[in-house]
Amino acid sequence: MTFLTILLLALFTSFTLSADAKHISRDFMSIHDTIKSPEIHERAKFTIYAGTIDVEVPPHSVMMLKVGTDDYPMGYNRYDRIY
Amino acid sequence: MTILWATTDTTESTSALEKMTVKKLINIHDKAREEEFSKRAEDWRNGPVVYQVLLDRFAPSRNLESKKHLYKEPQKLRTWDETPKRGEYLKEAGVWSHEVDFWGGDIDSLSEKLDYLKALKIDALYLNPIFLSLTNHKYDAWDYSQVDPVYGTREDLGKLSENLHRQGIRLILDGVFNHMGKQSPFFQEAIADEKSPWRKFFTFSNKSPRGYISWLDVENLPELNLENPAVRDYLYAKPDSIVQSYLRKEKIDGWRLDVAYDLGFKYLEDLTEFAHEANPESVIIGEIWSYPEEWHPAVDGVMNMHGRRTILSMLEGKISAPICGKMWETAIEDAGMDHILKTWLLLDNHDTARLTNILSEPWQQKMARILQFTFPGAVCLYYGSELGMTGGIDPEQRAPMRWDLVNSENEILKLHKKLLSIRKNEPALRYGDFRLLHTEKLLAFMRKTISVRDTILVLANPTDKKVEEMIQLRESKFQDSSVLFDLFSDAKFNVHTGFIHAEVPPQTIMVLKVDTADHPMGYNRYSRIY
Repeated sequence: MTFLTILLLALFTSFTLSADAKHISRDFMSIHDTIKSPEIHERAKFTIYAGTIDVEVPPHSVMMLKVGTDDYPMGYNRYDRIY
Repeated sequence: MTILWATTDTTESTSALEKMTVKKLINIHDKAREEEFSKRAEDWRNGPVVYQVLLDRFAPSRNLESKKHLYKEPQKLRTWDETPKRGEYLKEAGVWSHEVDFWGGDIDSLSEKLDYLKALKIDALYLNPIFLSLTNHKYDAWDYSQVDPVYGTREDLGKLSENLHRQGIRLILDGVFNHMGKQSPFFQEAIADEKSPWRKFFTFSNKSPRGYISWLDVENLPELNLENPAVRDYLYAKPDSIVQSYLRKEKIDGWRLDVAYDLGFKYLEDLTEFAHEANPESVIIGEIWSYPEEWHPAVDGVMNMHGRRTILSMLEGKISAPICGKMWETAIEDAGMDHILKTWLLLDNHDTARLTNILSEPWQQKMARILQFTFPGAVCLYYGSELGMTGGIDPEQRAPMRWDLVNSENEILKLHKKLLSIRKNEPALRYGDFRLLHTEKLLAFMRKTISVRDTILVLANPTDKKVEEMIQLRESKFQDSSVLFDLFSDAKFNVHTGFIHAEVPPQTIMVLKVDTADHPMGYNRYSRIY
């Protein structure tokens, strides 16, 4: 199964931005709570809660996020029936 | 709906409005949408007030002595004045001790409180799971076809349904169809006998070191194998399936589906279709914690955890009021109003801390509650929330109902009674459109039908400073120089050229309506405006 949804966050300012649940909630309907979204380059992770994430973006940086869809240790997986 | 299509009696009335048929008053835009609004109004699933109850905790049993023998080890009975506390893990049973603490409430004791529910003016009662199982929450069903005897019987449930319907209240049950309880005889047989027909009902797999997949890896909750058509037949596809039999036999009005996100779109869509076949007016509500957009029409509506999050985030100062409004506008635009009106907006429930524990300031709680009743969707009220009951996360928020707080001095109850009354009388809040208004600091939106008499304007200032803003009113029917008055205070604003200059005190919310009363000598700006 391939998950194509990508979230791109870019910060051009020289200070760290903490953005709580801004518009980025919009397209993440299929991503469930408590799933970690590993940031591809820096390995930053954010937990999705009720279709929103609280992000902290370092200055002059770009993050490209994908949702983690791995099994739990005992085999449970929220994405078994979600394409 | 408030639209009065019949010609009114012209001999006795004096107002110009009453001298004309309403039909003559509505404009071309109204006409284009009148059927849509009529349909919204006729569908009870749009914007009802739903009251959520944990049977064990709602009302003390009248026959506790006679049913004490039904509570077996490790289950323990507590007294009504005790509060739930986190316990220890019971390895043998595979549950926590606080999951098997009971307070003794049942269908019979709930039935004794129907007058209270009727007085609250609720539209539907939603019961947390009631099926045979080990725990008090019963999210670990052993057999869906049986009501747990500590709560009563299916016959009792049928009578409750009948009594509620007599009072104009619908009944909704909680279906946990992703998994069952480990000690279910079906699962036990499946473990013991590989050739048992129940074996293929569950998800035995080498993928799990445990040998079977369980919800969230919780040992006690083996997942059902919905990919097996026989499981789907058993749960919802056959006329005598679990979903359909309760709709047909006990005449319940719908299901709230636990962890609906785990069922996936396809099975939810099928389940909803079969439920509608059994009862076309039934409602299927999914426990969905994600962005609501694509979950409709797989379910009629979702538990709007997303909307809840925006309200709480604004009140905690994490997002601004205008952004909160924008998020609502976007969610409604993406999901569609038909879906959003059927979503259940909750502030707390059995899985969250109670609102009074989440937001410490009374103004925050009040603003959250008023927004719960004015944003689009159904209001889902967790038992005791209307009383201001406190409680942290599980199991504290599941305390026995504080009937001692039901008194005329309780300000939170007074607020809820007012909100419930407003909700009952204001069609725009039940099924009206949502219109976000441009603001710099306030949250401002309107709810409207085709009648200006229904239009509601909400202004919320969650900041600690007074906010003055010029607000553009997206309502062509507000006549110039009209007065908008707040339903919660003496505040009034004059409409001028389609704007108001709003002054909203810090940490204050206003719910405004237009004054359409006659002037002292009989003149009325709204005589020819519907």
